[in-house]
Amino acid sequence: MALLKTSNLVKTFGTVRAVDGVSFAVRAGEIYGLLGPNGAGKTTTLSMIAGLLKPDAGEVEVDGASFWSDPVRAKRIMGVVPQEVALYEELSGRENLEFWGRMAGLSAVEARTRAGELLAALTLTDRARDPLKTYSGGMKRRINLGCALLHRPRLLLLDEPTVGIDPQARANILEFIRALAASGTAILYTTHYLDEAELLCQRMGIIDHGRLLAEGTLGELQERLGGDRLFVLEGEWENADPTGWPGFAEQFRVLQKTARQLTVAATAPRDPADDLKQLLALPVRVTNVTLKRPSLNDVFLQLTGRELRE
Amino acid sequence: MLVALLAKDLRRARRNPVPYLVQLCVPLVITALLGLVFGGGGSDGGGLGKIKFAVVDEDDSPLTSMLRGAFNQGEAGKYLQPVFLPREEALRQVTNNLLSAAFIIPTNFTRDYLAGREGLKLMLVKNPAQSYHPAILEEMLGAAVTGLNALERNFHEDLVDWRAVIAGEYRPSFREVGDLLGKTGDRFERIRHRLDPVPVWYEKETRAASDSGKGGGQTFSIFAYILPGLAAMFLLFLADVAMRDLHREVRLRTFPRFCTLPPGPGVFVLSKVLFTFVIVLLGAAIILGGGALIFRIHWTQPLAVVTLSLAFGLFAGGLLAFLAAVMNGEKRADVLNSMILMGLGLAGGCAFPAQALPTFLRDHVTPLLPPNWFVEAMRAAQSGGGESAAWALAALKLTVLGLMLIALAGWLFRRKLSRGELR
Repeated sequence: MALLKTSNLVKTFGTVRAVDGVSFAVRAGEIYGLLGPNGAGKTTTLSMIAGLLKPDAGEVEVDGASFWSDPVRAKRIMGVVPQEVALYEELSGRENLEFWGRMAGLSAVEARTRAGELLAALTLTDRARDPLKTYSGGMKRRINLGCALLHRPRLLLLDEPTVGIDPQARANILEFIRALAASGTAILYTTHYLDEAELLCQRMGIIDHGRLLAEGTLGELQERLGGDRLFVLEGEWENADPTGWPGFAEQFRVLQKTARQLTVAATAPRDPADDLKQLLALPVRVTNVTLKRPSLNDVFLQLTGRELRE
Repeated sequence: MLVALLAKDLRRARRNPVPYLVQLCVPLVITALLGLVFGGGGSDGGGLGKIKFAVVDEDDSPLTSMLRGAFNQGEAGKYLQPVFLPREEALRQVTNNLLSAAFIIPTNFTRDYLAGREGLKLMLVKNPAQSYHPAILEEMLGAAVTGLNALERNFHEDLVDWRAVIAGEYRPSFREVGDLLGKTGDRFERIRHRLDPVPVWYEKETRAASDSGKGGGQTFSIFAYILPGLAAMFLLFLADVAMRDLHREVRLRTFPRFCTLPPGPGVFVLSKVLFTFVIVLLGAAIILGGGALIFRIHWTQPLAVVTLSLAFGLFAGGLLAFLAAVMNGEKRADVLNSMILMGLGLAGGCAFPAQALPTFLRDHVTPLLPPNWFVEAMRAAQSGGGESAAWALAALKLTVLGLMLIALAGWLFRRKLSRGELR
């Protein structure tokens, strides 16, 4: 059973429809990635799930019950890690953890015990007493994550938890999240780092302009391109119209065309050498060809006509 | 929950105390400066102190010599500290703020006065850097001039004769002096019915303080007069610093994070009101208690001080919560709160006595302002003239208004939160 389920969520700010009919579900022990560029509607969706915003339409269900029918119960089940480091710089790491633990409903003793456990798990015990303002960005991010875990939530909402930190700190956090999922926590993970999503998420949804464009496992999303091969052809493509060339449309789908580059997906399962032979025979002088497996960015490119990081 | 939130805020305030310390120190420093300007450093531990001024006696007559002696004697000696200097030195010391004023008796003043000449002038050069002391000297000089004019009108003929004697124009015989005394005595006898008893007199009374059994009457302390007003104004600023933390928490995203947790935002806002209340109480204890130690103020009615401080803390918490609820954003609060609180303080008679305010403000606005309720009740209680019912009523008004403002702020915050404006 899904621990989190959203159905046709809609949120409008003035004339802007920030979220437009978003539906997905996250099961226990699963990491679900919500991918999209900045301004796509990820944080607004997350805010509606966390109860910070009330949807204009649609439903959020947490553990089988509507969020708004019993918000306190739903909030007890979930932990939220905001995109910003929402902590008190004057307090130490331990004090921050204990405070947010108290706010999550733990007694003083429980909060102290849990804070100690989390400091150890986040490898921050030796800095526990230092004021947060003396921490590095990665250490603050770890405390930011830990503050949502004091009450052992069954559902964890992570809003771009690795923004602005170095690769090593990011790897530590991703490892920690993977361990949480392994222990049965359902995790909704928003990010615009595709490599993170590919490494971490079992399933993912791609969101842009407030709409969920596609959803599935990495393999399922790659399948949308019609195969497992992409050809990137460098040449003079400015005045070319590949779709008009005889036999091209039957074998290839154009993902992106710029003046200097054409990216196509092979739609038919055949020998890559045959594909390459056909492409090199096109009436445009090709200076370089790259063959690669489709990435999430290519999926996004196919869905929206632009790269995720644009 | 509220205790944990309050502990968190107090801990943060302790680790970043500068904004709070500034608001605590300023009223004490201003009180010290104003008190010293008004002579509060006097030996009596808090009165206006002795008025130090120069007497420039360019006339140097027997009459002015008598006048010089009179300045140092009796009651005058308690309040006046004349120094006798040449004109140049006296003016230099006034310019250098060493004296409150210079009183100049010009050459031949006595001779011309006794001769009945008109248009005589005594001169008072006031120190512009001081306000109270020169004003008191001016009033005294005015009274002296009135007396000299009355004397001249009633004893004009005698004064001419006396001038000759005093000026030593000739050596009179004892008989001539005796005749002169007799003549003047006869004139006094004729107006005796107007002098004894005098038609108008006054009674004076120094009221004993309420705890006179523990040490006698309370003398007026300029510090005790100034401090409650400045305390009221800066306690409001202190409350502003505390409540503005709510805006900071919205900006730092800790408030939205809190909103994802079971207690809900109402508890958070309430904790900020509680924090503000506690900060104001601590501030009041430091300003009024510290003021008592520094300036040797004896708070004659501690119960009134404590009760009024509690009520004012509640009012300050409510007012700032209300302002936080109506202000859209931290930047707007930064600008407008200071202006509003400054206006409340100034118009409420915190910085200046209400009597010194423009008539319209004094009569129609100031009495309606809560800081004025606090300040006037504190001053009345301190002077011993306030009935306990008076300060209790002021405390009650502050409490009721504070609770109403908290309720109104709560309603406004709920409305804002439901619209997602604070998230």
